[in-house]
Amino acid sequence: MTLRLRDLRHIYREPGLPPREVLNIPAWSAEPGETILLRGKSGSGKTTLLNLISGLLTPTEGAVEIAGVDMARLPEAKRDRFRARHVGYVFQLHHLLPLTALENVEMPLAFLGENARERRAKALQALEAVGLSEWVRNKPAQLSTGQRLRVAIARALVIAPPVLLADEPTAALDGEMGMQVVELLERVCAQQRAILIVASHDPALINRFQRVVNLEAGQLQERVPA
Amino acid sequence: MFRYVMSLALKNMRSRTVQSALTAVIVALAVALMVVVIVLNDGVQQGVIEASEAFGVLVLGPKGSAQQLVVSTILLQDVPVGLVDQSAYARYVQDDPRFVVVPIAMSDNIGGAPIIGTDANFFKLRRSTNAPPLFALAGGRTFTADFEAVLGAEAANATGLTIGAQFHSAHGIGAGLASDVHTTVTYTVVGVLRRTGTPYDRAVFATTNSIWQTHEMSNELTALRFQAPDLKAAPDNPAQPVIARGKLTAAFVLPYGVPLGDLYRLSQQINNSPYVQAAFPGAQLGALFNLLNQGGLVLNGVAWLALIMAGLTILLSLYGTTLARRQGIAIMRSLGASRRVIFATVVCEAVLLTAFGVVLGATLGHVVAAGIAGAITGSSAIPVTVRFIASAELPMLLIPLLLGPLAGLIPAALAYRVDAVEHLFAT
Repeated sequence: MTLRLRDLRHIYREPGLPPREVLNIPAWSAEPGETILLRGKSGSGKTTLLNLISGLLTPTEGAVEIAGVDMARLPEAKRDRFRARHVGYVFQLHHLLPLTALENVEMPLAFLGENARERRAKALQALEAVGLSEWVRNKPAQLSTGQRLRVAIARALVIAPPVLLADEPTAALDGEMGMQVVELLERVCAQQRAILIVASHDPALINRFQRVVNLEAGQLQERVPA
Repeated sequence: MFRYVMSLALKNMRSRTVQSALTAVIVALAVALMVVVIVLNDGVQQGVIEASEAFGVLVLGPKGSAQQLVVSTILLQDVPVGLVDQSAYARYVQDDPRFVVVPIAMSDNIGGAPIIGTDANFFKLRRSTNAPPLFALAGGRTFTADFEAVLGAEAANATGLTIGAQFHSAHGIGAGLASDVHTTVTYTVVGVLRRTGTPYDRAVFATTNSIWQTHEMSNELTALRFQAPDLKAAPDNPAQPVIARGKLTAAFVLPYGVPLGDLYRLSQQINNSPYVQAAFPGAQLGALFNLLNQGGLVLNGVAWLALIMAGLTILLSLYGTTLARRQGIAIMRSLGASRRVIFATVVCEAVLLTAFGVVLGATLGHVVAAGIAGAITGSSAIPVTVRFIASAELPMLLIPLLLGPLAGLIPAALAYRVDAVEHLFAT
């Protein structure tokens, strides 16, 4: 499933402030199995772009298409369901709910209407894939930062999404651990032929991704890795 | 999806156990209050009806409050209206074979158990014409002479007296001072009755003459605590009593084959006397029930107020929780939960909180009502029983079950409107 951005513009309007254009991307696309590193300064709009791709935000203009479907044109309920089926999102702060690791990972499947037995089996498999088989009954407070991130990754991957987004996944980890996490993301995305987009400042990651994209002044600039 | 939403609501409640428990307890207390009012009102009324059905169609007594006459004579609550000479009753019913009269003379007690001066007719009382006599002996025999006492089942328990035991009575129909003891007379227990489920279980029975003699011996007749009317001046109170000398506090009249019209005429005739009255227990107890119902209405109003406050508590609790949980809601939205699912989760939480409260309240209400009923029965021997009254309780339990989700609508709307992006990335 191809991801396409067409004439994408996003403008923030806040009361008392002039409108601020954060993104202006005439055309951009990614193919299944590609790994993409999204770079840019703080406030450059990386997270906004991820939110637009995930369908959490609707663009001011233009379209975000996954498999030819413009999410902004879908009614909200259908967009929620489309997101649940097509986009996995690993947040910078992990955003786990105060439930067990297993319950956190099961949740997206529940919103897709899968039955309890299927949910459990898939969630256990996802947790095993991220090396947390022994921690399924633990709540976030009982896990380390690295383990919490792995739960968040398992939760994003459990739906086998065609698009996997990760916002600064290595920010809170040391170098070795960060690398392990990126390897994990790459491995699973390669298995599932998912598009992996990682937003990160981490210079150590530049050479690991097939594509590196800089977000500057609201525009995407592709650069070929050295 | 419904099951998952319910399980999410349950998990949300479990994640803040104390707050959820307190909210459910507040609902439960309001429901319990309503249940207690309904169940006890019914229990007391049924108990009073059951306790009174053996004690005649008419109660005769001195002029005064008819309700007090019935309540003091049948339920052994309150003090008797006063004293009137036995001959005053006899004038109306003594020579008519269609009537059996059971005299009641109350003035003394033993350890708080009232001593009832009566005659053998008392032991012929029955709940209905074809029913066996209400009072049956558990042991011993009934009295055949003065100062022989027969103990009601409760009185036997309370006083610890057994057959053959002797005791002195004390003045007054309830426990009093040691100086009130009639040391000049001694009663001997000759029998103990089986439990009847009436207030008379806590009474002790002897001849009327025992009561009169006690006070003659103690020279206390004139010191009876009830002010008797001036019998000499009464036209329906001959100077020489027909049956025996002495006074009664009341008498039960058991009519056999008397048409209701005749009975009403008799009661009117008696009530025309300035010194004697005839009261229909059914009518007087009906008036008493009306009074109870009025009190019940007030308590019901209080319970409704408590229920509304419980609803507001649910609203406040869920509103506060939703405000605190907006990021969690945003996370769920990012994982694909629709706004409707989020809305339904909060409403389900309200439903569950209310349902827990209602079940707990209904149970608590019945337990408390049973406790109070037991206490009333223990102190009055009126058989107050607690039962589930579907016709009154089910609609009453249904209303909070509807109010709860209503109270959840505002927090649910708040949750529905949560902006996922704003709260996912809020610092």
